[in-house]
Order: sequence, then C-alpha cells, then structure tokens
Amino acid sequence: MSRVSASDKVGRLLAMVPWIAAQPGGVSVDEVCARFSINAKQLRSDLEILGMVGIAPHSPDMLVEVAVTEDWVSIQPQWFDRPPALSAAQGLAMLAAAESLHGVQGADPDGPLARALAKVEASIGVVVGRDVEVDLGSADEAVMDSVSQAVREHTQLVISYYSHGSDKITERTIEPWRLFAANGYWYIDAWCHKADEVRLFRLDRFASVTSTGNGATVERQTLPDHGPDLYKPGADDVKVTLMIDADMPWVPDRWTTDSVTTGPDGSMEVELSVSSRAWLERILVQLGPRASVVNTTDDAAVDRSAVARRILERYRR
Amino acid sequence: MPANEQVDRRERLMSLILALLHTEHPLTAEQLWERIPGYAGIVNQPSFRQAFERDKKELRRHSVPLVIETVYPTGTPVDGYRIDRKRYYLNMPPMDADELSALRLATTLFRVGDTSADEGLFRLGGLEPTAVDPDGTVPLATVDTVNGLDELFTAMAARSTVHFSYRGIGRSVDPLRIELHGGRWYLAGHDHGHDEMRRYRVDRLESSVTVDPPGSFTRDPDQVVSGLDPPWLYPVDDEVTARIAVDAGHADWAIQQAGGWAEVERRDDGSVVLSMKATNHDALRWFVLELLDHGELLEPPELRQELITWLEKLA
Repeated sequence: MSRVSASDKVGRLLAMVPWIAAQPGGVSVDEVCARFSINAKQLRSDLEILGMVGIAPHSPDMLVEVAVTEDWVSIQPQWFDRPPALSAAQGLAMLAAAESLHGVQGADPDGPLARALAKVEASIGVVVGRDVEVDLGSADEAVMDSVSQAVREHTQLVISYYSHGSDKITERTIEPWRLFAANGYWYIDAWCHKADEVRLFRLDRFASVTSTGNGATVERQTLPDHGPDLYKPGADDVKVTLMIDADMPWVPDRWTTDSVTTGPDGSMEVELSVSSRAWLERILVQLGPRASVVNTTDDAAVDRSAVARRILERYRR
Repeated sequence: MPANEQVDRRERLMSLILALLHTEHPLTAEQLWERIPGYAGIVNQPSFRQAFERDKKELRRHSVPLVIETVYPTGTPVDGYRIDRKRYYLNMPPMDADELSALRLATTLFRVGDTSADEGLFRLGGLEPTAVDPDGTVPLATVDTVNGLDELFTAMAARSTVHFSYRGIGRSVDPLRIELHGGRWYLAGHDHGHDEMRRYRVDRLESSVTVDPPGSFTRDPDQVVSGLDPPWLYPVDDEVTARIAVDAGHADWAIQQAGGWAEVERRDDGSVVLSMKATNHDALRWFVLELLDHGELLEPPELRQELITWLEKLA
C-alpha cells in the first residue's frame, strides 16, 4: 500500500504532526494511518518518540504534547504547527502529473485539479506552460479523446492505422483496453479484430478513428506491464549490425538496441533485432551513405537500393 | 542496538529541527551538542561531528532550508546554524478535500520519480480518499527523473543562476524552463557565454549543478521561451520553406507526423501539400524520406536536388 521508503519516517512525521495538530479534538488512529500510509504500530512508535522531543532545557512543559489512546490521537499545536514547504521534486511531480492529466482529459479551469494546481504553482513560484512543459507524446486531440473514451466505456473503434514496419495503411476494428505513455509516445493495448488478438498501437500512427457505435465484444484480460522496451524482439527477428558515421548521433536514441558501441572518431556500431525488412530498408535510406549494414543473420541481402530507386521514380516523372 | 539507535535518531532529528527552527540566533555545533538529547550522550568530539554531519545530510535530503552563518560566541568565528523559517514552512492556502483528491488521482495516473508525489501529498494533508481506488489504478505513464533535475527546478523557481559542464564546456545559465519531451528532460535558459537562449538535455549534463543564491537573475515577465521544436526546426542551417506533396492514402498520417507545424493544402484528388519552415536540412530530409514513395519534396529546388543526389547514391 505504501510507496514511502522506511528511511522517510522523519519526513513523514514533519508532514503528519502539523496535520494531526490541526484537527480540533484530535483524530482517529485509523484515519491517520490511511492518510499517511503508515500502520498503527509504526504510528504509535513515532508518536512515542514525538513525546520526547522538545527544546532545552526539556522541562515537561516544553515537550511536544501528544495524547494517544487505543484508537485516538491528539497533539497540542505548540511545535510543528505547519507542514514543511514542498520540495522541488515533490512540486515537479505534482505539476507534471496535473498538466499531463489535463492534456489527456481536458482542463476544466474551475475544476478541483485546476484549483489544486494553481495553489501548488503559487506556493512554488512556477507557472505551468510558461516554466514547465510536460509532453508525454504527440497525439491528435481528437484521437486521444476517442481512444480514452473507448477505454473508459468499453466500446469499439474503426481505425485507419499506418503500420510503420510494413509501410501499409490498414483499416481495423479495435477495442481499446489500456492507454499509456512511454518513451515519448502514447500507446494503446487493444483487441484487434483483424489480427484476432491483443495488439499494441501507437497513437501518432492513427490516420483516422471513428466509433462503430457498438460496445466491446471481447472480454478484457489482465495485461502484463510492457517494461521499458516496447519493442519485443521475436524469435524470427534478424539480428543486424549497422555502422553509422559520426555526424548522426541522435539517431539510435529511441530504438531498442542490443548494443551501441561508440568508436573514438564518434562513429557508432549498433546491434539490433529487426522484424521487418521494410523498416530496415527505410532506415538505411534515411541514414543514407553514412550508414551500412556490416553484419546480418539473414542470408537474403537487405535491398536499400530498390527502395531508393522506387522513391526516385517520383522525382523523375 | 540497532532498534534503539533508530528510535534515538528520529528523536534526535526532530529535536534538532525543532531547535534550529525556533532559535532566535544561530546555534553553534557546541551549543547543539549540549542541547540536543541525542547528541548530549555522545562523549567524544569526532563521534559527535560524524553524527552531526549525518544529520545535516538528512536535513538536506528532506529539503529543510539550513542556513549557516558566521558567529563569534567567544570572539573567534565559528559556524552558526538555524533553519530559515520563512522557507521551511508551507506557504499555501489549505487544499479542499476535492482538490487534494484530484491531485492524488493525477499523481497516481502520472508518476514522476518514485515517491516524491506521495511525500508532497503528505505535506498538503495526506492521501485524501478518491472516487477511484488508487491502488487498483494502472498508471498512464511513469517518468523517471534524472540527476540534476531537482536542483535545476529549484534554481528556476528561486531565480538562481546555475553552472554545469555540457559538451565539454562550462556553462552559466539562467534557468527559465524545464521540459519533458520525447521521454527526455530538457532545461531551456539564457546561456551567459553565448548570450542567447539555449536548450540542454538534462541527462547529458557532464557535472553536478552548482547553484547561485536566490535572486541572482531577474526574469523579464514578458519574455516567452518558445517550446521545443521538431528536429527540422533546430537552428542549424538557413531557413527555407519546404513544400511536400503526399498521396491521398497517406495524407492524414503525414499531417499527424508534421504535428501542427505544417500548413496543409488539400487537392481535389485527396492528396495534400504540406508547407513547413525548416532550419535543419538533414532533419527535413529524414522527415521526407519517412514518407517513402508516398511523399515528394517539391520545394525548395536546391534541397529537392540534394535529395535526388542522395537517393542516386543509394540506388
């Protein structure tokens, strides 16, 4: 239940004590435990310590007054009467979360989240949008709306989807199950009727989306976490080693690579698993003369020149 | 015994914070040694020093604003300690239950770092019950923080100039904006050395960040820091206006990829022409080739010819 580590007991006490002190007449042990992710035993132990905290010369009237019974606790608000200010990490976590949720659900300027955000901004002296920008992934607003609605309401969508690996646009009927952002992109896990299984779709590859008006027909399953690498090499993947010249270092950043070795001249040797030859051919055309395949487990040669010629035809019309 | 030490440590830290918060004058280490029960039991200086150093570190970890000033209790200068009351306490009107609840839900759905959000919520009044069970909620996104990010964010809020090493060069920067984009954290700010706005990837900082005192720069309230540009707008080359034709079947997808940076002309046959400014010709070429043979760079003529030459070398 608790996401707070053991070593943060003091931090929690500094926050918890002023809150308990602010409750007129005290508060139930159960409520304190729920609010501050603490069990009753730890709470009693912390409160016992608190009873011994005071300012020199530690006469009884200088100690923090704590009264705790079986199920009730009250603190005299002499010391620690206000909580500490938010730290940078805490403030940033909240601002980023609030801005992200607004981005997904739309921002109601009078709603509780907007009001909470305004208070946090004012206390830190930072303005979201101007001083902090959190962009979890680019996705068309209409696509995001349709998809998040379908996830919430268990409904079906028809999408026109650009499959990057095979360079094909296909129409599919899908039932979105789970929306999430990772590595700078928005994704959904959705049941795909065309594939007859769960598939992962990237929202920036949706060419169009419409609701079918129907409810979902397939029961949702619990899906495992994708983990940091969304691309899972398959058994049939070909292992490829690319050599990339020094002046294009920004390229392999978002690939799932097996290894990247940088040479003294800045060139890079990149090993990766490739499921789609079309994907690799496109990458090779984009990387151009500055990259080459130096090793591959696939006997058939990757035909970069065929793709280049195909594109050139357009320019020669 | 470990259990006792832990109990003593909590009491000692709380007593230390209490003493440093409520003192009118800075307290020296000697005075703290006498007054704090957790220290008074320590017999020798080195052990006390070690304990005191550990505790100071703990205070810093909890962002307690410890102030060190020089004092002269016996004529010779020594360090005096106190906590800056103004900066220690939360300065915020109380959160309503629905506000706290909304904030809790947001930080459950979007996790930045590991425990920071919960610790923050504790300071605002604890974990307010939410309509949806937070423990059963799957995060929409989990974002890692990186070293240096907290210092940069604090410095930005305090208007403190920062110093760090980046690409082998020492930088002095007035931090103006923190951004998350493409899964990476960026700092945008005014670089003193280049006397212009620059952007830095925080995970590529080559040193720790040193921070000047608060208020070391003033911020122009009308200054707008423009958002993160797409790669073809990184300031590398001369600006051109590119026009790119895209087939009907791939038009919608291409418009998505251009992400609002292009003006769109729709043709009768369903194909489109995208017009976009570009200041990075390599990145523009990358974008055009992403479209494979469904797209064509129409203008400017020099870049079109460069692209043809590029393809001819590979063909």
